[in-house]
Amino acid sequence: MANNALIQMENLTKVYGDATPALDSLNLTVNRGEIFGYLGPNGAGKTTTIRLLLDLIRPTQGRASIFGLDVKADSVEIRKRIGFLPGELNLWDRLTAREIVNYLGNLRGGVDNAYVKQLAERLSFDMSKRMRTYSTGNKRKLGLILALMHKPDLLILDEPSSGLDPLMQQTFNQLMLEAKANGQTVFLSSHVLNEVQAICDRVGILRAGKLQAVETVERLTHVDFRRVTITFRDKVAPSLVSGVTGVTSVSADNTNVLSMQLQGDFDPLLKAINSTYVQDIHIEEPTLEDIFLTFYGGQPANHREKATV
Amino acid sequence: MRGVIFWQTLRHHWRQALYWGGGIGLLGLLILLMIPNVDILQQYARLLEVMPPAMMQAFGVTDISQVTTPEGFLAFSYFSYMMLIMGAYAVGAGLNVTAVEEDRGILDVLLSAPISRTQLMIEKILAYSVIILLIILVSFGFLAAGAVFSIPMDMGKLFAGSLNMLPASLTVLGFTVFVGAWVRVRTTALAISAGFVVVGYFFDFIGRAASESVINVLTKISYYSYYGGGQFMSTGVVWGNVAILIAVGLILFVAGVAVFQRRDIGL
Repeated sequence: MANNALIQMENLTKVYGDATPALDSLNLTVNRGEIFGYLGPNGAGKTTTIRLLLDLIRPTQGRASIFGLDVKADSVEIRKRIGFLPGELNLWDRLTAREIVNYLGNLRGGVDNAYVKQLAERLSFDMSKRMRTYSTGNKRKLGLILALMHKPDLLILDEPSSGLDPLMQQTFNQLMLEAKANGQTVFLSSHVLNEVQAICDRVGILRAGKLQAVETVERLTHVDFRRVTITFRDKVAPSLVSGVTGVTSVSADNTNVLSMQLQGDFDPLLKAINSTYVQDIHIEEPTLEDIFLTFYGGQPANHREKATV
Repeated sequence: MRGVIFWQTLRHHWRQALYWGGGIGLLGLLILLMIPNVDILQQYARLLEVMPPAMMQAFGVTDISQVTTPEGFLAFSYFSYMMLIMGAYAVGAGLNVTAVEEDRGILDVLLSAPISRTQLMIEKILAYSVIILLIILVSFGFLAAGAVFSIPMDMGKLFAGSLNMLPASLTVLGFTVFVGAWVRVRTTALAISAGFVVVGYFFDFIGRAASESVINVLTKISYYSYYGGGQFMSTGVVWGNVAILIAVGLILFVAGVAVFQRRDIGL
């Protein structure tokens, strides 16, 4: 194991029943002190990876280690140093958040109550209510407090900011950056690129159970293109825009609607359509799949995942 | 950290001992209040004499004179049925060990804490065993009150008869823990475990009714036969049966822990 490696997965495979592998021969290393974004559409295998790391499920093949310890044989030792936020937080409905924090904190030998209070204040979270009364966003905040309260060496967060409003998203980003500054490592899964873009050092892209790439965020997000759909008042030919600098994949879905992929500046395209009457221009940011395919060559898929940049 | 789950489970479920123990005990108290003197019991025994012997055997009465004593009447009308209610509680408790929290996704968070699956199960099993004991003690309190205010009874037998529900309850708890650990889905575990309780009762009932036939073998595979609540006042504690029930319960606990230790959680 490399000295700097905190999480190491070797040939990690998980097959449920006789189906296609949910995770297929994953080899991935997460370094100490980095914020690693684990990106992929729903069903790509992100949660399966996290559950394997937490020893909630067992690999069909391969192995994983955290802190140099085997995730199965040394799971209790590893979990002392991990903070976990599941994708969907389910807890005891009749307990208050404070009771839950105390219970799970006691399982860790107690936590710093002043720090818990500070976290609750930063997240604008009322700890006195029963779990069943919390909204999705508030449950997410409680989940973050539970993950952070014992200042773990490693944070494993499954879709951490889903359900958080934009203001809380900013607070979350700050908390993650502070964690990094404190030497903590963060492994977070997401299907939202701008979430990882803001805070992650590196990103791994998972697709259909296979790790497609591991890149720095800078490199990945320098793929500069958009999908543009222009609605004209009158019928136009695709040749109106094909050949324009930066424009590719032109398609005419309707007699007066042209769709295309635009890379680079808008100016050449706007000049090309200058003489026509434009009713509407719709600009779509590329999906993860689009970025991935563009980044590594090939055409963006027609099937669009629900991911945004 | 050791003991946290045990105390948390006790802290949040100890009231169940009052509700269940109170409910069961109140039923026993009412039965005792209905028998102001032994004459009533003798009249009742004469009524029962007209019933077919097989039917009486099914209810655990081999000699009608058993019913003419307060203790015997209580065994017939209370202890022979109360195990069904205790069984129902033990099923609910057994499901709470893993199945309920796994079904709700709570185990994902709980098992991200530094505790092993084995520790989680053992602490919960111990906590629910204590609660079952508390239920029995609370119910005994009501019976004792009945014996004081209604009809004099042998308190020692009454206490032993109440405690006699513990081994069979632990067997049902063990069975449910095992099924919950094995099948994962709470509703399926509930159905199988409830079936175990009810079928156990009917196997005992039918086996006793047909004591002369081959069907009697059913009593050998029913936990209810080893409980023997209906005959307890005449037989006293049958230590062999107690040992069998506790041993089966322990084997099921260990098997449940072993199954749970090896499998994926929450799928």
